Amino acid sequence: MNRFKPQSRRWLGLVAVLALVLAACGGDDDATPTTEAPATTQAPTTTAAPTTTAAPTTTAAPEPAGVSIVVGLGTEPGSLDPQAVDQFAMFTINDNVFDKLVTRNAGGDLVPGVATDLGTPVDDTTWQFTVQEGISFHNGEPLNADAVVHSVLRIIDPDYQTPLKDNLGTVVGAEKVDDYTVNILTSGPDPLIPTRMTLLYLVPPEASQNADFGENPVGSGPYRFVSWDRGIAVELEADPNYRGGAAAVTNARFTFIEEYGTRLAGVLNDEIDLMADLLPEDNARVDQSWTTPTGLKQFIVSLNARAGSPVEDVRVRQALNYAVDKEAIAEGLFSGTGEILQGQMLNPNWFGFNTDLDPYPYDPDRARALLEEAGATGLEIQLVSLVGNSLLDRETTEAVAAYWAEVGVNAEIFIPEFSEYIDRLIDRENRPDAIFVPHDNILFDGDRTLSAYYHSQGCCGSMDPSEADDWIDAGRTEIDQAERLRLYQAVGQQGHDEAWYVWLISIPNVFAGTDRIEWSARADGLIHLVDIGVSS
Amino acid sequence: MGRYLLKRLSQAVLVVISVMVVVFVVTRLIGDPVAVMLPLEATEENRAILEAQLGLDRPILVQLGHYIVDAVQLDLGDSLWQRRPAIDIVLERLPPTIVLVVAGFVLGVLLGVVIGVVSSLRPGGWVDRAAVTLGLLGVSLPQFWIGLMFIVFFSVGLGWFPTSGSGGIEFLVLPAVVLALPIVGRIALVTRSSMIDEMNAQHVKDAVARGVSRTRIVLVHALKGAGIATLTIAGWELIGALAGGAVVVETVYAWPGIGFTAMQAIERHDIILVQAVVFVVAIMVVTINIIVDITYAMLDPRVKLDRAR
Repeated sequence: MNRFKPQSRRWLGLVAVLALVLAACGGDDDATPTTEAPATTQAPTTTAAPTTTAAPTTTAAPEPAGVSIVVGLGTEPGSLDPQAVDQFAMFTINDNVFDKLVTRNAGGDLVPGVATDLGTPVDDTTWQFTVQEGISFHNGEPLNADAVVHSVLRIIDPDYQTPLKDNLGTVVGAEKVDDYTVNILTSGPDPLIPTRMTLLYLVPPEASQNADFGENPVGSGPYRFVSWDRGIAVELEADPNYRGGAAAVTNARFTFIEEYGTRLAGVLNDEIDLMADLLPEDNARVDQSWTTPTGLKQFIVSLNARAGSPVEDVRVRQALNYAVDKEAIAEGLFSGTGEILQGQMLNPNWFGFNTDLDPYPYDPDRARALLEEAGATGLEIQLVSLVGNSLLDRETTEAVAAYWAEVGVNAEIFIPEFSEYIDRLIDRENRPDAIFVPHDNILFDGDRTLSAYYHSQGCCGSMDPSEADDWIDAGRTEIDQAERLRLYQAVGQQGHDEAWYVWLISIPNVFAGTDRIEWSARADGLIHLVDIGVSS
Repeated sequence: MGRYLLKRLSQAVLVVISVMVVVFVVTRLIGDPVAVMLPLEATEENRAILEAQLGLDRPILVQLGHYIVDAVQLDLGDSLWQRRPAIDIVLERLPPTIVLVVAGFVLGVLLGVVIGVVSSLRPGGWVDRAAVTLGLLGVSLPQFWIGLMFIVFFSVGLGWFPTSGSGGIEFLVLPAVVLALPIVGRIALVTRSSMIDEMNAQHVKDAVARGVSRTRIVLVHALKGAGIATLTIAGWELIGALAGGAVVVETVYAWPGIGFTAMQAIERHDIILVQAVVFVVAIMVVTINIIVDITYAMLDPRVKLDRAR
């Protein structure tokens, strides 16, 4: 990008030197960085740190008046088109740049975004939203009904291949009612439409048609996209005209440092103000750390409850629950940052959580008694798991197998290559005896989780058909939220009593930062720059 | 010379194509990108749709055929992760890698030769023993670990250099030094032993007898002979730094080169991008090999390139 012209020139110079070194080799001419963005006069400071001693390295550009922070992320998104890729780093950056009809507050509750309320169901296949007037995108395009219609049609267009389409579920179209009113059309009654709208970023109708929209995104949120130096960092700046008022942080740089130790060193060295994915054991080494109020990834072990399985007897499955000390896993492996699942897969802040359920307590004697009663002492089963997908996934699996061994159940751990793991997880014919699953659900609604794991026809359920199937099917089209909650809670109760799973813990996102940052972590694990205060 | 070059170039093309075929097969054996790109709970139907979109549902031989035909036209396909031509990504990331590898290589060879020559002057002396010990350390300590230790010591502890990133020369120092360490070690050890041999060779003894100054004997007569062995190792070191060291060092220091890109691509099962990185690195490796062989002939008249005569 031309913003880094001085730097690119240096690269060019050094490449030229190399060309001499490699004398005979003339093929490296292509190796110059492609300059693709239109020139901007933005002042570059390519130092990674806004520390007081670090001078800008390339040019004597004036420091922007304001507060800059550096955020260290462990992964780089493939694209910044907010409708193109399903990558958490993309969401983390773009939640500052784009608006949605409906959003979530820090606690995780649905609140209106640019819509005036949470939407109204007009009939079985229509939800109506009204957009606040007077909002425009950073390039001047108005954010109105046309922009919303365009955003919906773009993401559901079959030619526009995007994994995010699944989040829109039943949505089949959108139509303008008047300049600021829009109807979202569905294939049938869908109570989740307000929830689904939290994953639909609104894009400007004109700019989003540019081929390079994924490299130069234009939103309407509190921060404007400035630049993306691939492999290095994305820079954002606060929009001074933002309707929500001025933010304390005026400039933010999201740097991509995949190596954990290096990222942590950046925080220890005050080069990085805020980093994602701190390991629990490093909590004491950093100035500050923050944990999302609830977990985002649910660790469970699925048990095959179908007739004919070695764990078909409910007493055996209950025994496998009683046998595991979840508190000890949360404390020992996750330094207390893991939260015990309440005898269900849903989190307390997901829709459908059943407040009446409790975790199976750790009671190895009862487990042994139940196994004996069921004649399953000395049971041998296979426990499928995975490694390197989620924090301490393999270690958690090993802990579970060790607890089972204590009560006389011999579980052979099998960790295949990831795509074979997936094949086993979704194999409808041959369900694994037991399979460890890290589950997350960015919709925060029981529908997706229960449909996948508590429905006998779901991708990953291992039970025979039951009433729960009917309740889940009914909930999917139940517009009355109180009734829908009742249905999901009944499903949760049945799953708990049948012990379809061993519910372990819920793993939060942990962030680390320097002591100049004032912040608290959001329930959804995203980083809203507007929430960050900086002390000098 | 011309005939030799032609022969070497056609061999080089064969080598690159074989490497590409191997990489193609291996990337398809080690895992399914679709599994990584979709959520755990995605249905088999959705997986099939994505597989078809990526063209991964075709028979592997058909894929390979298309792949080679496209690659010849420098079309290596679109990166699954970034949704843009993989070759563009690799070419964008190449300059930082070249800067890093050249800096590390030049530093490594210069230091290695100096240390090797100095320690060969008094074999068994304390300078020699210290140099051999350091050389062995440089060769045997894992770069990954050294990289992190340097960050802890020089960045977090002393505050001399930034922990990671790129920009000014201060960002280059630590990664270049870490990349150079094993090169220094091996070059020093090889230079030392071939210098000791050369100093005992007849032509050097003759020069001593003729009364040539000691400096001239060491730097001209002995070093020229020892240079052949050093050059062989140096060629390998350059290839090693490019194809191996850069991946480790760039990952530790978040240096935005092709090594870091390779790591990112592997983690995301972006098989198209992995192939593109390997393609470009393979071309550079065979080029370096040819250059090293030509340089031999310049240094040592006994080496004849056109053996056919």
